[in-house]
Amino acid sequence: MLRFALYFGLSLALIGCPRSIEAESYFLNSEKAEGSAAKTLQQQAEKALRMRDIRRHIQLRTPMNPTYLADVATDVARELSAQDTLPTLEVILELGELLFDHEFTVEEGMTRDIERIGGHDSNSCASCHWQSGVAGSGAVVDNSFLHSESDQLSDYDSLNPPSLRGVGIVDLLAREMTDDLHEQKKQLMQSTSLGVRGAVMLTTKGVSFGTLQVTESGALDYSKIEGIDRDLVVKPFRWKGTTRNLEDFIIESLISHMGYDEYSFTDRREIFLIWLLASLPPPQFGPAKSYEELIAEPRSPRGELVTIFEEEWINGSKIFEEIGCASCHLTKMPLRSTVFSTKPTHGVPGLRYDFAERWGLEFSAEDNAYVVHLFSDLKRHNLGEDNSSLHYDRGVPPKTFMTRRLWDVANSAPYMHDGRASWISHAIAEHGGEAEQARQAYTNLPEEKKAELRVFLMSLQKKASVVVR
Amino acid sequence: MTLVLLCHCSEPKDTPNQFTTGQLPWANTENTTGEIDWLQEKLIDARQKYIIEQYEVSLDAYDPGERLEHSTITQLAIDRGSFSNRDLFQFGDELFEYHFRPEDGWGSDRLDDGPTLRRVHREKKGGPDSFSCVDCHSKGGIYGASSISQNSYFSSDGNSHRNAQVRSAPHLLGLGAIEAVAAEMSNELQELRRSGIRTATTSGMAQNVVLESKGVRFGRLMIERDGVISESSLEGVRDDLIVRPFGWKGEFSTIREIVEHSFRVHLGITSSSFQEKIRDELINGADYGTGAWFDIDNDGVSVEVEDGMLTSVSVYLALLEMPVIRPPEDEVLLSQFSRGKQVFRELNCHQCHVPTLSLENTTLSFRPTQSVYANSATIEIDLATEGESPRLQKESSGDAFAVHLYSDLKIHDMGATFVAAQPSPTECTSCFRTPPLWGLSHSGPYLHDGKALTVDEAIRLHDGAAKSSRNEYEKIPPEEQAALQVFLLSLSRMPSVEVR
Repeated sequence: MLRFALYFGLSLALIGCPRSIEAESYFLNSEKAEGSAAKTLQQQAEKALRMRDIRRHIQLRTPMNPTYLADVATDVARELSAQDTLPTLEVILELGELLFDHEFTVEEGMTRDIERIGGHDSNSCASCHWQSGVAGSGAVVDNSFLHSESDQLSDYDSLNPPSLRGVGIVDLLAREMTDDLHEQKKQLMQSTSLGVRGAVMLTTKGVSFGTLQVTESGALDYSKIEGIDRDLVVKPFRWKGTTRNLEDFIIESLISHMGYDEYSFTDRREIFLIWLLASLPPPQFGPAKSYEELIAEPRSPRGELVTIFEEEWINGSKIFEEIGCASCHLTKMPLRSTVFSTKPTHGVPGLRYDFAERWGLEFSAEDNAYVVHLFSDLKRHNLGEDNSSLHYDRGVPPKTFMTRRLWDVANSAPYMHDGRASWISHAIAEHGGEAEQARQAYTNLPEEKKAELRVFLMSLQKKASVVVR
Repeated sequence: MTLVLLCHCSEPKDTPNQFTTGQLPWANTENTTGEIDWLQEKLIDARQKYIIEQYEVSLDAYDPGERLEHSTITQLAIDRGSFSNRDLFQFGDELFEYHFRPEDGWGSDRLDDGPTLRRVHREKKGGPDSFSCVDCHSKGGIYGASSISQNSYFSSDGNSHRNAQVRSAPHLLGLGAIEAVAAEMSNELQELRRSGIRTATTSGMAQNVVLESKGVRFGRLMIERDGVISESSLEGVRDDLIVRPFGWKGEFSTIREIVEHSFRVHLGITSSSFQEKIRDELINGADYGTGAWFDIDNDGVSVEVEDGMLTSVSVYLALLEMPVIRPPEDEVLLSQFSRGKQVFRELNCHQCHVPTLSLENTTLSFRPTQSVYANSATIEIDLATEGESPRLQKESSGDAFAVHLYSDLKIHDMGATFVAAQPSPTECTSCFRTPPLWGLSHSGPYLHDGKALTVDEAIRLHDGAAKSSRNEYEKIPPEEQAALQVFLLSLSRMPSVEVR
């Protein structure tokens, strides 16, 4: 009866609905000309100082009104719901950045029940994602301790907060990959008929996820798929690749780290956080750009001539491919669309924005796609016994991890899931399982080739930006 | 399906909507405090530092160890006079942000796959729990405080976090001034004792000496005619009358001590001078590791931090800028600030959080502690002229310098509810040194264990010696409570500018 009532109500709602679901998706405006990512250091510094002043503005108002920032967020969310006066992208991003840095109060929905080990462990995103600026990685002391309630720290999985730069791109890549795999599954289902075996090699963006088979009885056989769950959804977030998109990642994080209770407030803060993180440009790639500033300074402060390791970098990039690092840390991935979107939620309409220029991705006419130097295949792999976590995480076994993105590896020490390695060399030495051969190959390289590979890896970093705290 | 199609009555809105720029309440925020000039100046330094770092990172990638080598100096080299104080500052700066590696002596106990991290410390042996100083001193900028996730877990068994002593890391601004003030206080107290003994023995009359320095009273000393001293009436300072301004419980008197200690317990990096103390049996080596005296942590590296490194990091920390008081520009907030400043006095917060201690001599000296350097020259820095700006300022009247630290540098018993139960019969578990409040705006969460997320919570958790102030606070109207918080949150620091 109840179910009937629900269907009936839904039908009525649909009949009375002024727009379709698609209609509730709006393109956001950007106030300024595109390419705002390419600001000079001076302009960046002034903006960063302004943000500091705004944080102070909020901090000083919080004693009188503990929900000051949440209230502003609610107001902007209301504007989004009203739909006729959409805030600009800049307003949304500014609010996102403030919320990312904000220390949430109990009145704003932060739990009172803080337990650093194994519980709600933080009151702010920036507390653990801070190294080299907004949404960076965390230090080893920022590790989260999960999957236990024990008195003994050694019963917990210790997980280092990864860098969140470029996650908008990661989100889109994973969606496109999932779409491809689902399409391949659909075609397999359509092309086979009862009594005939069938199979498809699941491949997207140059990454193979094994073979999906259909048995004679028409049942799907998942036994030969690799590095992905049976739902064939690429889940790029978290160390074990268990979260499918940015939106889920942020909501899960607010719930697990801060004890966010989704019924306790209505500011839809996750919308602003999603857009902030989605907007962050990808790290840079290539030696020339990395050393722009060094070129401007031909001598080091100690009077030595600056060596620009351009040749070493090129050699290093080749070694990276040759010894097999690149088979999982895939150097290039094609991205078909740079339009990021969020679903309609709680009265806030779906929003869309084309980040092509802001992200500054290079377009390849040959591939008819943008080129993303992600250094990951967004696939899970067995990393061997020594890297094993203690617990399964959402069905993912202890030895299995999502390939880490290396595109800002120089900014995101320490390395490995528990942050055990403080330097790149040690991180390479920690690889095992499917990466055992590549590790061996590295160990067997002559010293100068190892040096070249390290020069290449340590050039992978974010663009220089000004951080004012 | 049909229903959905039927109501597909309008097209997606792809046309631009109206801007609402300016609707955020802070849209007109403008910096009128001269910080823009500060920004310009700091940006030049920050950019230069970035360039050096980029250079060092590539060099180090090519030739591992280069980066540390470039920031390592021996005390011998300092003794030769090769470096100015500014050079020492730079070396210290580089070490502060360097991520140490096992081959540098990071960690303890050599295992097949390298030393392990220990987020929870083992008694005196410590962690290691981090790779660099900046890991826990970054909030509000480099050399800042720790964030909520960065508390340390001291003095446990290496595994039981619930038995550990939880400690938040303070910001590191103005440490030079604090050390200098504390040293003057210690000298004054000891001088009072010396003259008391002199008077008692020469006059043949017992003396009741009131120990007071810079307006802070440390109780009394009873000195008998024969010079025998009774310390039972001392307050907030140990029998040796040394004011120890560092550490939550006032464990350290100099920056050098705390640097040495932090290297050892947080990074597993043992100083050469500490090794010497084990060799000479001044310290029980068994408490600190299983190795021989020259490699007590048994990690296969014997020279981990030489005296020269301790000197450079100490000089760096001592020369860091002073925090600032930044009253709000907004008129309503400004009146709250002024009211809050009064409330701070009315509630007697200022009795322990003494707003200003005066400093006569701004010279700090650094002596190496290894015996081989017994004849080394003392390094001297002048905080008033060599420190990073903003520097120490003179008091409005007189020649002394004003240190606006908001502390009496004294130990107080904060009451049983202030501290989580710790089995430690030999000392007062609820005794803490009054933490300086300067730079408070960028140092939450508050209190020794970071338990208080807001200033309000921090005040409400005060007990023991501060009980009456807390009770008064709970009685005043919410507007006054807010005013006090606005005042406290204006104890700030200049913007930290980094290029990353």
